[in-house]
Amino acid sequence: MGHLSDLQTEYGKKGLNVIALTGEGRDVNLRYMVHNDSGFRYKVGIGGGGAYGVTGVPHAYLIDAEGIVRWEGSPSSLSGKTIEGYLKQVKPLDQAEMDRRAQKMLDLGESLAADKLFVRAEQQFERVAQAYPKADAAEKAKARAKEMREGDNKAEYDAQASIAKLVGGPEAPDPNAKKLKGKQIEAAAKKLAKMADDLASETPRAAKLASEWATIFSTPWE
Amino acid sequence: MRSAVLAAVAAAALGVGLTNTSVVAAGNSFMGEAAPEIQVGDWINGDGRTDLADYKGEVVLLEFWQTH
Repeated sequence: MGHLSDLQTEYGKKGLNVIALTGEGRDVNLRYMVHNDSGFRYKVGIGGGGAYGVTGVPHAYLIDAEGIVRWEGSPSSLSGKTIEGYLKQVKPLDQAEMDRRAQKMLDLGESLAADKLFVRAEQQFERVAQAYPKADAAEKAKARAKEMREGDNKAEYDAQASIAKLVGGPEAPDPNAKKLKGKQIEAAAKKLAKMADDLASETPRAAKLASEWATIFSTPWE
Repeated sequence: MRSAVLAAVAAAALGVGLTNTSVVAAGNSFMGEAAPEIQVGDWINGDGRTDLADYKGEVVLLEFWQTH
């Protein structure tokens, strides 16, 4: 999906958000990223687009700042110029909306922390502070990120950080990280499987995570 | 059978082949209308924003795709 990644990279800072929806499950997407693609630079969600009735993929809709569909069709035929025209309508958010969105992001961080995914939670808390530094929740988010790194769950955090390093990112391979190939993927799969065993008694959440990634790395793409 | 023949005649008159799938829209059209809301429960790499309403004021390129 190079074209969409390119569009997100070029126009993201000016207010473009590329969102891809797919009917395929999490494991398929993660295996695709590990074995085929260097990762997505845009957001990927599973399902949720029923009203669109899309039967032939890829198919895309460009939605302007007011929520109106301005272009639809095969994404490869969407030009940067068309997008640029609508980016001119992007406006700064008011304080109330900024606070609402920051709180929603913070909530995701808290749900990741509740699931004991401390590295992903830390990443999410950092995102709040970066995306909405003037929001009410920004200071709290920074403090929560620090707690993830240095708090009572440090052992879990450190173990999960070592898994993220091997995988190429906390939630999925980072498109900016060096892509693993062939034998390197096999070697990583073995390391992850060993980590799943080694971590089981001290840091069970990290062990489960390592086991899940080991399956994704060791199952070839077909 | 009769209706199938009529459809074929009508398609021929319009210069459209019945087997040509490129004339079939890949999704519902909403040009110039409010984009229907999405309801995604599971994000591979989300940031906490879940609805199109969370992107109001910005531009969204919403794509539907499959790896295979």
